[in-house]
Amino acid sequence: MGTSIEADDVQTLILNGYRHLEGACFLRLRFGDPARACRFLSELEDRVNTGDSNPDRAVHVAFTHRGLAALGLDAEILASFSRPFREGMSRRHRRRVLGDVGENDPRHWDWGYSPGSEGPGWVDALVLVYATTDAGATAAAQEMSDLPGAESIRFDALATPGSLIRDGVPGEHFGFVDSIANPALRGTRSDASATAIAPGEILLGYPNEAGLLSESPHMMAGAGGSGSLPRGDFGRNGSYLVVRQLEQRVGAFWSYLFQGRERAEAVRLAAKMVGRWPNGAPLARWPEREPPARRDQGDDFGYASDPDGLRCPIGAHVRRANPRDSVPLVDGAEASLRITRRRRILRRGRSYGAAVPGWPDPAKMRAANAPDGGRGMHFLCFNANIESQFEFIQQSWLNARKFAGMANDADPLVANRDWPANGGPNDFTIPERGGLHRLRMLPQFVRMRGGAYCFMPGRRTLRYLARLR
Amino acid sequence: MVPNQSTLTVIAPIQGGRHAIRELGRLFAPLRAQLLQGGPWDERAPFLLETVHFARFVILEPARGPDGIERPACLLFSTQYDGSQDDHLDALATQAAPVLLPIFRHCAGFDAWAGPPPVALRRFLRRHAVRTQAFYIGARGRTVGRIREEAKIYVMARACVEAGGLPADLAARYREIRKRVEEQLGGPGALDQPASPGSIQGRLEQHRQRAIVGFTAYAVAGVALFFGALVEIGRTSWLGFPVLLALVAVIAWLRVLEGQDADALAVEEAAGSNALDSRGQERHEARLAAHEDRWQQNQLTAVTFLGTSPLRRWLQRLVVWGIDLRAAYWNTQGLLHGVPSIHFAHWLVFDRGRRLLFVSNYDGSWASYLDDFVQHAAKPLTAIWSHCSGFPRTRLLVFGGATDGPRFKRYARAHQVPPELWYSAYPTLSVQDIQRNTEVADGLRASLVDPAELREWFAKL
Repeated sequence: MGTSIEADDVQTLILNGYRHLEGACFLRLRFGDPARACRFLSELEDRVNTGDSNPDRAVHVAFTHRGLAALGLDAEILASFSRPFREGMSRRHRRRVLGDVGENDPRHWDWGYSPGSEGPGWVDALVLVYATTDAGATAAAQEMSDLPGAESIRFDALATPGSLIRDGVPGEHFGFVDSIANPALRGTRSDASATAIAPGEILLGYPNEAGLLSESPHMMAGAGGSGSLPRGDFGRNGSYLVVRQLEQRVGAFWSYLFQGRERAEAVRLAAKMVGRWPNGAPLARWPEREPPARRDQGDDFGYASDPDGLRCPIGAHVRRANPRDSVPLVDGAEASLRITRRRRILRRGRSYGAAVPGWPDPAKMRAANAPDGGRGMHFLCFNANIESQFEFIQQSWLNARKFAGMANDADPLVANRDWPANGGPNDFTIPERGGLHRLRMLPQFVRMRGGAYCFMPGRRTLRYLARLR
Repeated sequence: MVPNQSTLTVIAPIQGGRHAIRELGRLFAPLRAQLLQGGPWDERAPFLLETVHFARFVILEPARGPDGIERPACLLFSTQYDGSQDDHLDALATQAAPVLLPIFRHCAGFDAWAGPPPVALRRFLRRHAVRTQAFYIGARGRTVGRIREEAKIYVMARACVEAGGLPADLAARYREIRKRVEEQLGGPGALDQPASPGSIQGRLEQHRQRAIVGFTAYAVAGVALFFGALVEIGRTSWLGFPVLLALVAVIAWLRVLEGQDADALAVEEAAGSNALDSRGQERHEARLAAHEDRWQQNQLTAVTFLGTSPLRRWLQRLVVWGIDLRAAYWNTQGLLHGVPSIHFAHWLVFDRGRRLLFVSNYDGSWASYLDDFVQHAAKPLTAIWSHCSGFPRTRLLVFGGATDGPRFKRYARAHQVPPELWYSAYPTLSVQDIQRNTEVADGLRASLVDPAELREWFAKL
């Protein structure tokens, strides 16, 4: 248990979700001249926040594999990163893994992919800026492009993240409270929680739930500069950051649910799809009706006592994404928890775009009839193993139509309806006493707009990168 | 007769080197395209038989074993089929000849002059068929025809419920659904005949009884041996002592071998851990991935060299034999060592016992399949593959090894061979689908009346 984290070397965003910082700006960087890019990084390094603190302004940086290569990082270190990161999110076979086909195909993305290796869509690095206000974040982001060395770098801002506050906590565009139930890491301030997971599930180079050190990129002993990194561990105190910009079709969502239904029934169905009520209360605890809003929605529940999904459907979004003590086809709560503890991700997403008029009231949102597009979620998550955490959840739990022995159900909220190609539109099954209720051929509510696999280094590693040239 | 599922594996050297491999590639390309195109499944693979569940062609590249001997390229053909092997060979040699002949023509030992094509083909297949060591079946006793028919019945029954307008009373509703399904299947009586002779439940029972008898016998024999040895040692040390000594010797030998393997592995890793990340490895990965996740089912073909020590090969045989017993008599409900996603899997050794082949057809992604194995069956995995060169460090046959998930997955990936062609008779069905469809169809065939049974049946739709 005694693993303590070298928090001073870890970028603060991994340890703190910055709920108090409502302004944010995400910049996409493309490097030009590597020497000047390194000059920029050495300036940036002074500004990057590390340690388990609570700043009122924060700057963070993460790199893609092509970005690290553009800086001239040693080929051996580059090759020691995990395969998904090396290949990038838009590699052809990854599209099938992630369901990025049809409408979600990288060819239609706003960023993160270009045909050919040098197109304008690619990303070398992401700079994430947080401040107490939107204006503060914009100003801080502007400062970035004035740093020495920045003149050789191309900056593009992603759609501006904004805070949707619902009952005093972060919400998202469909009208639900969001960012509940993130795992706590052992060895950090938040590890008082009984469900805290081993740090190696998120941070590279630490013991994970299997008792092994999480795989981390490294350099050969004796390689140049290896002295500045303990044991040549290039990844230590870093984490893989998955970024996906997901457009949310709020109009399509609520008009589908209101079709021939009263408000109460529409909201109940929406809750069945999500697995939580709009105010965040879990269906596993409050199956019948939404309880009064509370500030703490609680993470202290499971599904083992609801094996048939009568309270929370087995296919509901939050139950698929984290089945907790009830992994389909696995015997027993203990065994399930052992599995799910190895499949956690640390989410740091933010909404972007203006809310639909009337948000978060479903009836008003539906009546507003605002056109879809231009709003959604910058989904950000940290994990130590993209393949067995983020990608596994996406492929084997969310997009899987055979999840839990079902015939043709994928995630009702986020799944790509075009995938797999020969499946046809998918359904959503709501088990109920005396039969079941099935929503057939769901429309697509979420669409992929761009994304990248990044690596967020520790401070020492960032310094090493800045001194490459 | 009880319907029987079986597996055939044919491995033959390819004659004509690189040129022949290229020629084979040209033959497989249009067949692969045919499988990947849209449209009804049966029309995409007209060259495959009604009795074939899965089929694959794999080219094994030339390889040098730990004994330093260079092996020629081989063509591997494997099917999982219904009925007897004789009938299957007949069907392949006659109905599938137009496709198979041009392919096997490139193999050494194919004698086109042995007689008319079907005769020559049959003789070739029989001669190069390799004996299976262990075989696991996910959906036992169900023929391709039955699996497809029951999938139809399930869809029909579900559609009835979803269309609405059914009586509210459960029994009346059930009768109405039964009537409608029967009509669609070709009129009254269509649901009366059992889908296939011999009920699955009965077969399972029969298997279970044999299993209990078998395992009890094992346990009794084991305990008797143990106490026998103890008593012998206590009384006359002249017989018990050698037995004990032999056991200690085998364990010591195994530990020496495991130590040697660990040293060899360390040397290999120090010298060329980048062998795993080399360009060749990248290409290998890309070729594997190109074939994956086309449907919700996937396949795995893995070839590994066994260690050169006789003890290694003997232990491997013992372990796989145990797995076969378990697969045949214990894991009969769609779970192999707790892994729920396997349609068929089998192990065999070829190349005069020097190489181990593992072939499987499974649901879902490669990552989740391998993780399932690591989580549920790390010990059996280790016991099988620790006898192969390059396997992650193992202690006492079952410890270590596959418990190091990432390392084991890299090992598995490196030894996986991409298929030239892979066919599934029902690519949209999972093992759980097949199981549920049988339960739904059997529920209709049984004319249920009991309210509890009816409720249970409706919950499956």
